[in-house]
Order: sequence, then structure tokens, then C-alpha cells
Amino acid sequence: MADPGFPPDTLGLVPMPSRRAVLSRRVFSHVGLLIGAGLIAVIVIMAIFAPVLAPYDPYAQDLSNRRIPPVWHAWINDHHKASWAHPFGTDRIGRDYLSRIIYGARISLLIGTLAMLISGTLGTALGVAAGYFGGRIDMFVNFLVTTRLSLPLILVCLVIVTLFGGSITTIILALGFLIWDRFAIVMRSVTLQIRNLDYVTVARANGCSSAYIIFREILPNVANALIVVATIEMAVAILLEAVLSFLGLGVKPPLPSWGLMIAEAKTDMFFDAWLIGIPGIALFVLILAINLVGDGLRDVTAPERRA
Amino acid sequence: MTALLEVDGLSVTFPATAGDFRPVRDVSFSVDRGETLCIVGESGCGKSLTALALMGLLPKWARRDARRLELQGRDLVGLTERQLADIRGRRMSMVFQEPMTSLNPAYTVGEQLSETYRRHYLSRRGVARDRAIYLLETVGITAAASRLRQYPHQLSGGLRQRVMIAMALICEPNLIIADEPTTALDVTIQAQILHLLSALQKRFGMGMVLITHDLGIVARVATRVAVMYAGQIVETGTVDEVFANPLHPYTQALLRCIPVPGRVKRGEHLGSIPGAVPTLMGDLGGCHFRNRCAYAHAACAPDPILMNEVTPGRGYRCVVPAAICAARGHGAAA
Amino acid sequence: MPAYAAKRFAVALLVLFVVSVLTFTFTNVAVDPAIAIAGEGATDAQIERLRREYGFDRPLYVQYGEWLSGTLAGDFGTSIRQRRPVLTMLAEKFPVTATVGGLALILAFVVAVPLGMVAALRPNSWIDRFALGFAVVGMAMPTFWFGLVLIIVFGVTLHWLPVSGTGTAAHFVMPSIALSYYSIPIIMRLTRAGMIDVMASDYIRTARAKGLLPRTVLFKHALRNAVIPVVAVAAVQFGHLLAGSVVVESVFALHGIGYMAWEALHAADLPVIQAVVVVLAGFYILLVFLSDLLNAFLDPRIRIA
Repeated sequence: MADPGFPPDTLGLVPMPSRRAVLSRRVFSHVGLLIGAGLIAVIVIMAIFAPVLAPYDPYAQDLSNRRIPPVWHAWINDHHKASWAHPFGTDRIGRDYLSRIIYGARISLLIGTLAMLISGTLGTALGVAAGYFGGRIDMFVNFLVTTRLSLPLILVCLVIVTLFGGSITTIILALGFLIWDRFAIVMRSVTLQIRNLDYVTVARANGCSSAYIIFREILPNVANALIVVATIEMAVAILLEAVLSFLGLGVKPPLPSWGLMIAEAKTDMFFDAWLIGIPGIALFVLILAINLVGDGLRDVTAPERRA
Repeated sequence: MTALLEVDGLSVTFPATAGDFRPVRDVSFSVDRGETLCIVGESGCGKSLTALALMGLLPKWARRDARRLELQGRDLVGLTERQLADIRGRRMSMVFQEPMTSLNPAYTVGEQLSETYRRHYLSRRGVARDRAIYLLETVGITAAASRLRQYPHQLSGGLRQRVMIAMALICEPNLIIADEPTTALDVTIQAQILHLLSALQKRFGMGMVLITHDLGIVARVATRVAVMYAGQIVETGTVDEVFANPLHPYTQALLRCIPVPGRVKRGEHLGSIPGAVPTLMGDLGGCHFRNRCAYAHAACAPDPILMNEVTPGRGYRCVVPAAICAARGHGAAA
Repeated sequence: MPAYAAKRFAVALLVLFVVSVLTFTFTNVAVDPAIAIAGEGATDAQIERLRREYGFDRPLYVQYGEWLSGTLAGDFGTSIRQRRPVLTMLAEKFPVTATVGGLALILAFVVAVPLGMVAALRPNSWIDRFALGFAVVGMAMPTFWFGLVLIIVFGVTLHWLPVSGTGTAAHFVMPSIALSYYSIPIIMRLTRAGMIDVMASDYIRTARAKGLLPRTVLFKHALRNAVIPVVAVAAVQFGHLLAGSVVVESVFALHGIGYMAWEALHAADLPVIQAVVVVLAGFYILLVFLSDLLNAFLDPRIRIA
């Protein structure tokens, strides 16, 4: 033991920093993650407080003020109608574009979140079961995943939404039951890795039930991978909703879905490009923010897998 | 006559914004022809990085510094990658720890063996093939000719390590560096591989640097020993000197951790070293072992401790005079 | 190898069978084909007569059997809307989709693979940062919106390229770019990750330790192993590109099978919808099967099991 008058901590050798400290330092030094999280926070607040924040009713038509360009047209080409009264301008039937963008965030986030939760539950259950039990169950899940992957995603979404009607509920259910494949694949491989670790073997040797092992030993340790996949799938769901609505087979007018707004502006896009520009950028920013958070979380929790 | 390998003041640094990570600090040793130097230490002490630094195989972002790094009198420090490539595999070669992953899965054993020979001797395929068969036989692989057509995944770990050894020896290098060559293998295979390496080293008259954490291996094959702790060599000497008369408190503590039949009584506790290895960021100042040393005092902290040379080739890194160290280590000698 | 191929083939057939059952059942449950044929304003009696005439009153599995045997013989039925054989329509439209998909795949590989390789060999260099930034931006940009932006910039503003139709080779430039943009980030990231893994692998260290020349290490030892996962993804991506063509075809008014399916959806034209879904799925399954074989050929661990 060290000399009593000279305790080890004064010897000046720094011990290795704790895992938690390393993690929190990584989170707060990851620029992409911070930017993404900030943007998402802004969009979520926008969606929640839409009635307060939106300057107009998103459905109110004003035929005397159609296709007013956004405010910056007043600066760059002296457009006489552009003003702060409609910062993002108005669409072809005079609805305030800013208000529609704000309300549109609700649709994207609602569909993205719920579809991700459904597919996440389904995919995780299948993936963990396949990885944990192996054998026939694994083969069966593999077969399901292969089958699902061979279905042309966008087309099948279109078919389901067309045949069963294009309500938001149908879209959420269709997406939820179609995009679980990545959850299943990733959860299966992560579970396989963890399943063979010593602490799981110990739990099995001690006679713990499968349910106990899955919920107490495996799920807490696949959480990191799960969150990363969840961000990817949420982005996929939001993009797919936009595609469906753009193709005229998703959310029905007059709902202010960003994809639908782009579709409605298509005929005017040669004259007023901002009509498709603004909702497109809104979509882009939301997806970008989600992807930045997903990439950032992966970097932070498993930096060796950065790709 | 100069030694086969001369290393003086070798350091490895990984630059980082939060403070440089310096896993190898001022390491010096030499290896003669026909001699086996064992570098022994616990994991993370920098012994594997020392080996990679010798071969010039460090990751790109790592920085290697050395006052002197010479193989057969030829300076290795300023060489270009191309010049280094001419030396690697021919003058010095390396056997790695993981035989399961160290061979390329996409090519046959024969191709991987003979390409080394063709690279350095520009010989025809037939000649290289015969040479490969000869080497496989030398490392004790039966039916060598048919093994050439096999892929690594078709071989067991022990066989793969034999192939790795054959590959390292195919150009008859003067120096072979073996980094924990038996750690990943079954215990019975470990002894065979170790015996093989030792026999081949004598037969070809090579110098060998064997890196291990296993003191049992050191006792069996080493001529000389270098004990590493936290990036530094803390003690060097012949295997008899170090085992019979350990000077550095770390070596003494390490030797107390090994059970010796007849000496350690039934039910008696084996030694262990309290505390944890320090992080190798930045400048540690003083002795690296001072937070775990039973004899630490104020003089251990401020200034870097230099290697005390007792006799040529026998040294230790501690502020305490050798006589006192020797007396303290009396109970630890194996 | 033959045993491996046979097993893969059996699985592929089984998947295709399940897909066809799913497609057939779902479409028939969701829409009453008799009503779809009769159109709006038909009386109940007319619908009932049609139902008996076409055999829609029989159990679903009997109808499926009939449909399957027709499909296997190359007869996908008749389009309700156009009153033409679906097979003829498919044969007309498929070349357009395949051309755009094929061009997009080539473009994606030509851009993504070298970019991923260089990014992997020079981690954290400006080119690596550019590639990663490009991937992040690319994955966030909706394909249809990117297509519209291309039209506005290169079609309307600069007048470089035609904005819609399939008349000349120039007509295929923008659709191919728009479609390839979807695959580039995925292929780029995969190449980069694969190359980084391989370059960090023990056997590359061994190859360097043997004194092999840097170019031998890179082209002989690294590339061969890094290319395996990329080859696997090529086939899968081609399948995705064909399936995703419905979006690009509608943006650029290309008359491929995606556009055909989209029109058929608006008219509840079941035989066409079923055929397109099953053909695209079948094509994807075939591609995956072929890429499995190619993989096995490249990787001795699978070839010689």
C-alpha cells in the first residue's frame, strides 16, 4: 500500500474517465447531433403550438390574394404584392403558405412517429425472437423479411392506400406494417451477438425464463441500435407519406401535407417555383434533422461503426 | 559488432485535441542474432504497439519517434513506405496474434505463401511453389502440396498459425517479431507452436522478439526479458537475472502473482496488484507505477525516472538503489 | 455450390409464391372486381351477371389457381380499362422502366463506388467529408422533389434538356439522375464502410507485413473483399430502382410500368396492378438470387463450404 502520508490520489496519475462522462462529452461535442436535435425540437414545437403560431387558418381561402410570392420577392425583384402579411406567400387559392407549412409538420410528425412505433414494435418482436430462439423461428422470420423486401415498397403502399382509402389512419397502418424489415434485421443480428455473451449465458444457467432474459438482459442492451433504426424508419415513413400524397393517392386535400402541397403546386411550378420550393425544403430539413440525430447517436454510442 | 536490432528512445503518439495519447514512451532495447527477447507486460501496456512500430505498421495517424532504430546497422527511421516494404517480409517479418483473421479469406494458402516469395525474389511461380511446400513441411504440416490449394477457412487455428509462421519465414528473415502468437490457440496447440517457433529460431539463427503477457512462456523460451508497464520498459535483463532477482517493484509484484508448485501453500492467497493502470494521456511525470507501488513516496512523483543500468543489458527504472530493491524483491524471486 | 444454388432457388420460388398469393388475395378482398369492370352506374343485376360470367362468385383459391396457371403460361389476363392483354402492355412499357433503372444503376455505381473508396482510404480528408455530407443531404432529399428541381433548373430555366416524354436519349438524362440520386448515398456508405473494415482487417496488416507493395495490398487484397458486399447490393438496388420508378415516371411523364401501375390504380384495374406487383417482385427475387450466386463465386467461404 502507498505510504500513509501520501495518498494515491495526490500522486497525480489520472484514472481512466468513466463511460458516462465519455458519452456525455461525445454527445455535446457532436455538432451534427446537436444541430439535428435542435431542428427537431423547433419542428416539434411548431407542430404542437400550430394554432398559436400559425398567422392564418390553413384552410381559409382568399381568392383575391392568390399566388402572392413570399416576402423575399419584395426585396430581390421588387414584387409589389410580396410582404410580411404572408411571409411564405399564398397558394393558388389564396391560403397562407406559412400556416399550411406549420400545420403540415403535424401530419408528417404524426405519421412518421406512429408508423415508426408500429413497425418498431413488430420488427423488434420478430427480430429479437429470431435472434434469441434461432432455429425454425429464425428461418420463418428470415422468410418473412425476404418476402417483405421483395414487395416493391412504394407500389404496394400505393395499392393498399388506393384500395382501402387514403385516410391518415390507413397510411399509418400501411406504412407501419410495411417498413418493419430493417428493425427485424438489425434487432436479429444485435440479439444474436448479445445472446452469446457471458452474462446472458449466466442468466440462462441460473434458470431465468426466456421472457425475463429478453426483457431484462437483452432489450436494455439493444436500445442503442433500436433508437438508430427508429430514426431511419421515421424518416422513411415521412418520405413515403410525402410520396403517396405527391402521387395523389395519400393524404386527401385540403389537408396541408407537404407532399400534397408540392403536388398541388406542380402545375404552377414553371411560373412560381417557390410554391414547390418551400414545402420541399420543409421536408428536406425535417428528414435531414432526423438523419443527423440518427447518425449522431450511432457515432456517439458506437463510434467504431461510423460509416 | 552491432546488434541485429537496435532500438533507442522509441515512442508512439496518437495526437488528439483532448491531449496526446502516448502508449509507448522512450522504449530502448537491442536484439542479437540467435537471441530471443521477450517483451512482457499486461494488456494495454504498449507491447503490441512497440512491435507494430518496429515494422512500420502503425495506423496512419500515429506518430513514431526514435533516437535510433536500426536493423543490421541500417537506419529504419527515415525510410519511405516503398523502402520499408522491401525490408518487411525479407529482413524482418511478423507473426500476429489472431491466426483466424490474419489470412486473407479470398485467396488460397499457396497463393498467400508464394506471393511473399515472388515479391522479394522475383522468382517464377514453380520455384515459389516448391519453396512454399518446403516451408509448410518445415513448420510441420503434412500433405503440404495439397494444403496449398486450400482456403484459410478450411484450416484449424493451429494450422493457420503454422501457415502464418511459414509465411513469415519464407524469405529467411534475420529478425522475426511474434506478437502473442499463441494467445488465441488451445493450450495443447500453444505448446506445440511455441516449441516450433523456438526450434526454428535456433535452426535459422534468427533474432526473435516475442511479445507475451505469459510469464510461463518467458521462462521457457526467452534469452533476455524486457518488462513493460504503462508504455515504458521498467526492467531488463537475462531471464535468469529477472526471475531470480527482480529489481523493479512492478516485476516483483508480477512474480508474486504466479503460483509456484512447492512454494505456494495450499489455501494461501496469491499476490495481486492493487489499483489501476493510469491513462496514458499527456505527460505522467515521475514513475508510472507510483499509484500502485507499495514503496511509493514523494520522490517518485516529480521527475521522470531514468533507467538505472546495473551491468550492460541489466537495468531497472526506479529511484531506489539496486541493493535495496534486490532485498525487497527477495521474497518474489521465482 | 450446386447444393447452395438449389437451396437458394427453392427459397426464391417459395417467396415468389407467397408474394403472388398475398397480392392476389389483397387486391380481390379490397375491390370487388365485378363492380370495377361494370363501372359506375351499373345496376345490381348487371354486376351479378358479370360476376357469374367472369367466375368471381367461385371461391378465391379456385380463382387464384386459374390466375396462377394463366400467369405461368405468360397470360396475365386482360386490362379492365384498356381491354388489352396485360402482357402486351407490360412488354410495351417495361423497356422504358428498365432503361431508366439501368442507367440510374450505372450512374449510381460510377459515382458512389469510387467516392466511397477514396473516402475510406482518406478518412476525415476533405473528400471524405464531402462524400459524407453528400450522403446526408442526398438521403434527406425526396426523389420526386429533386426531379422537379432538376426540371425547373435544367429544363425550364436553362433549356438544356427536355422535361418530359421518351422521344430521344436526352429525355432519359434527368430521370436517370433523379432516380440514381436515391441509390448513391446507400452505395457510397456501404462501399466506404466495407473498405474501411477491410483496410483495418488483420489480413491487410499481414499483407503489409509481408512487404507487399501498396498497390498489391490495395488492388489484390483489399478490393476483392471490399467489393463483395457492394456486388450484393447492386442487384438489390436495381430492384429498388425499378420499384421506385413509379415516382420518377410520374414526375417526368415517362410511360413505363410505374406510370402504367399508377394509372391502373386510379381506375382500379386489378389485372394490371397484380401483374406489375408480381413482375416487379419476381424481378427483385431473381436479382437477389443471381447476386447470391455471384457472391458465392467471389467468396470462397461460401463457395467451398
